[in-house]
Amino acid sequence: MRDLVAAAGDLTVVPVGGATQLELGNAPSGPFALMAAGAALRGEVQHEREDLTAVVPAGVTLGELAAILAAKGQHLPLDPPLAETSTIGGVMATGLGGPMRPRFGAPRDFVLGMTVLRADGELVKAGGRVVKNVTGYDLMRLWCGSLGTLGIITEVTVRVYPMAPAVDLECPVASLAEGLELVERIYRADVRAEFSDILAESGEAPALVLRAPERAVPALEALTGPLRRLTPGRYALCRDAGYRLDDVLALRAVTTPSRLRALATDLVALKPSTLVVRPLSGFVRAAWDVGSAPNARQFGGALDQLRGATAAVGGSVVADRMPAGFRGEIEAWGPPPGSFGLMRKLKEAYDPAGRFNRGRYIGGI
Amino acid sequence: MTTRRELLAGLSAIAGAANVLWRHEDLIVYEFDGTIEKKLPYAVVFPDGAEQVAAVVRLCNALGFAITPRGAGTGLSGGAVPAQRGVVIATARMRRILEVDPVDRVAVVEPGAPNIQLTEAAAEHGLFYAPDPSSQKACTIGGNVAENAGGPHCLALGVTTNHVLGIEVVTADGEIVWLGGRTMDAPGYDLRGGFIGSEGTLGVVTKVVVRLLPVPESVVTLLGIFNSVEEASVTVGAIISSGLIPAAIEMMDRVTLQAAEAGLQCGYPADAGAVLLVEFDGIPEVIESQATAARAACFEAGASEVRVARDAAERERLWKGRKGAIGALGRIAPNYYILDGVVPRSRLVTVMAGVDEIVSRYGLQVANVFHAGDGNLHPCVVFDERVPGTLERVLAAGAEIMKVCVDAGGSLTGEHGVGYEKNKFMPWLYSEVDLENMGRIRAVFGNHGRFNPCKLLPAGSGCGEMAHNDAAMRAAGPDAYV
Ligand SMILES: Cc1cc2nc3c(=O)[nH]c(=O)nc-3n(C[C@H](O)[C@H](O)[C@H](O)COP(=O)(O)OP(=O)(O)OC[C@H]3O[C@@H](n4cnc5c(N)ncnc54)[C@H](O)[C@@H]3O)c2cc1C
Repeated sequence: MRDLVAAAGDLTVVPVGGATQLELGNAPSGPFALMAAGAALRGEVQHEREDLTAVVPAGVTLGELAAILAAKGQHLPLDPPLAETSTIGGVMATGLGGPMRPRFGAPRDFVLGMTVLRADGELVKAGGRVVKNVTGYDLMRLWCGSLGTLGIITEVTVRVYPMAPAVDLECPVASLAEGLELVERIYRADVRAEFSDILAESGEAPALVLRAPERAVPALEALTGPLRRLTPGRYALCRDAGYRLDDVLALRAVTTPSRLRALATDLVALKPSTLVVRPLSGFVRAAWDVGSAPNARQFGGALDQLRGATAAVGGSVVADRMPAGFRGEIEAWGPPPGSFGLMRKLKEAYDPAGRFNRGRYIGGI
Repeated sequence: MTTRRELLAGLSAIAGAANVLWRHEDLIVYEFDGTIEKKLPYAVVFPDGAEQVAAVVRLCNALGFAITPRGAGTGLSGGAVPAQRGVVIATARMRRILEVDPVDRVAVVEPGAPNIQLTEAAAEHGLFYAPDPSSQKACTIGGNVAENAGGPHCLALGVTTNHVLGIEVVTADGEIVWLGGRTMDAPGYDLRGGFIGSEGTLGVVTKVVVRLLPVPESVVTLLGIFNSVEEASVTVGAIISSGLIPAAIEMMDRVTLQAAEAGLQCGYPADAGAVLLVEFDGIPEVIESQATAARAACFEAGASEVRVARDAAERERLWKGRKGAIGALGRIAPNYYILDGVVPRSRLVTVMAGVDEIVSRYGLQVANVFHAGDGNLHPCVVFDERVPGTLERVLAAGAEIMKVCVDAGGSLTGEHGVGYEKNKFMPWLYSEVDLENMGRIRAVFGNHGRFNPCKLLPAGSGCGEMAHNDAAMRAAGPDAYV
């Protein structure tokens, strides 16, 4: 790894894990070198079943990890887009969750310890291997979601969970509003669904899609009416929408629960081919295929409006995927927050020369 | 050179003379926290919000005085002790619950609000704030954020960092800034996450936005009664590895049980070797089967009895004993020294035996009351400080216990923080490069050595060698700095 970084010379290094999120963020500023971090960071997973922990080399994919954990009845309930082929290092660096985010947390919430290659070639670690730990600064949370701009993640220790038998279910809902209301009622009734997304595909009625323990199904049906077993593929759609091959344009937006309905409605007006609403984390993702995508000017205008509307509560709208032609005109991350000054200082403290992913991150960091 | 008089005049001009303490008899209340070390500040100031805090920070920086933030002073690692004297910024005047929003399920609170007050305010809306340190009646939300506090119910729900969406802070160089906000997962570095658990070394928290959760539909609380700590430890492993994640699994040993029962009359079996308090919450359809499985696991490991709380009153009583247990230890001896090591759950039995061996070798008595489900031990050495030489033995035993936890693949502290008390032991876990790397975050927030100095990382010069800690260092042996 060190050698790979050194070999890049003056170019900024763009680490590549499973190559599922290469389009995320801005284009690197200036000349860059792709570095196959995923391939360089493979190795054995140390799974401690009794402790519910696993030490995972960063280049291991979530698919490979799932198989190892499943052999002992456990899993990592972290399901970012294209989970199977994403490397754990890449997942932590991008910080994206999936349908299970509201119940189990964002990628950072699984991390117990981490080792990172700093831009100057030092390997540094934080955290440890136990499930509860406040020994030292929580640098893991700074590294997670930093898109490798503070260092390249080389190893991650995660907390894992026992696999609990559950069933995947769905029911049609008359409208997004009804779906939102149902999710709220289910949550308030303390039926702990593992996920509960609303999925709307263009030309179809929206559906509530969820996973819950078998024993909870009667309690659920008391609220939703009869539930159908989920057709295979629907869960993957909730998870992957925006990252499938034919998605040319995708955004994710986050706001407060009370403003979610308005935000989702604004997005419906832009006629995405797929819309996924994750009510319990205030999250919406919209994806467009070639046929449905607006042009750069329309999209840019809509983004500005959405960003304006969510800014008041500190929400955000990120353009995850855009056709190449949009990039010059549209900022992927949106305006940086008030703490941006500190973010810049953080980058300077750990990668003063901009060796890693220069320009790709928020505010051009 | 600045005189103390100039400092006091400056503080009074910012916060009002009535909100500045400087007389010796007033200051001695602020020289300690829940630990053993003491140091007297030059002054204590009570600002009313971020603006005043920022002004105080800038004044102290300009005059060259150290700053130490302080909440309720219940901390168990010396975090609020002003190691280099200077000024204590106390949050006691910032204790309002500013907002509870039942629709967005968030609350906005000032840092000096006691933890329990937040949960009481949320209860009106059928909501609660999950992190519930045993000290929750006194400790403040600001202190919880600074320590990333946990509590019995953090096993399933997570600790403070999992429940705080945003914080307004005054950084160590006096800038007011929001980290995070009211929504989840905003893009950009998670500075909120980096600040939480920083033990008051990066700035002063002046507002906190927390997530609230709906009060569980129903709760089952079990009290498993065992002949020994070992049986109870085996049960913890069995429950966790059977795939159950209870809302809480708390352990109390015989010494603790007897003290709690004598002091609080909570219905504990005083002759038991250990008990486990196990709780499940959720809908009855789901938790009943979980409780049945946990009960079976208790019996399988040798429990003599498993009680189920019949109603809310009985449940409250069982928890009252657990949450008041440490206070009740005062019946056994005037002082206690509580440790906070974490070990992998699979090592619980071995490490508990190691703890026993260490305390008996030092001729000391220990009470164990802890978050067993997380492997977060709290060996609590009870002693009488007035007996010459005892304190040194206690600290030496404490250091050995921490070493045993670290050697078992664990850590120094699960929730109480490193502070002033364990920073010398950090090299057991981290290399010099790791520690230097951690230290860089201080400069990012403008802490150049005078903001809550001598805490968390191994201290440099000017931290006044503390006789107590040195005894512990000697006991930990020559490999203490490897
Ligand atoms: C009997 C007993 C039981 C306990 N049980 C638990 C438990 O179950 N779980 C647990 O986690 N802890 C527990 N604790 C430890 C303690 O209560 C927690 O660490 C608590 O979070 C400290 O809060 P405080 O307001 O007392 O903070 P203080 O002791 O006043 O300060 C603690 C640290 O926080 C910093 N600080 C305080 N306020 C601010 C602020 N506004 N901004 C920046 N920094 C600040 C201080 O500088 C210091 O470093 C227990 C303590 C006792 C005495």
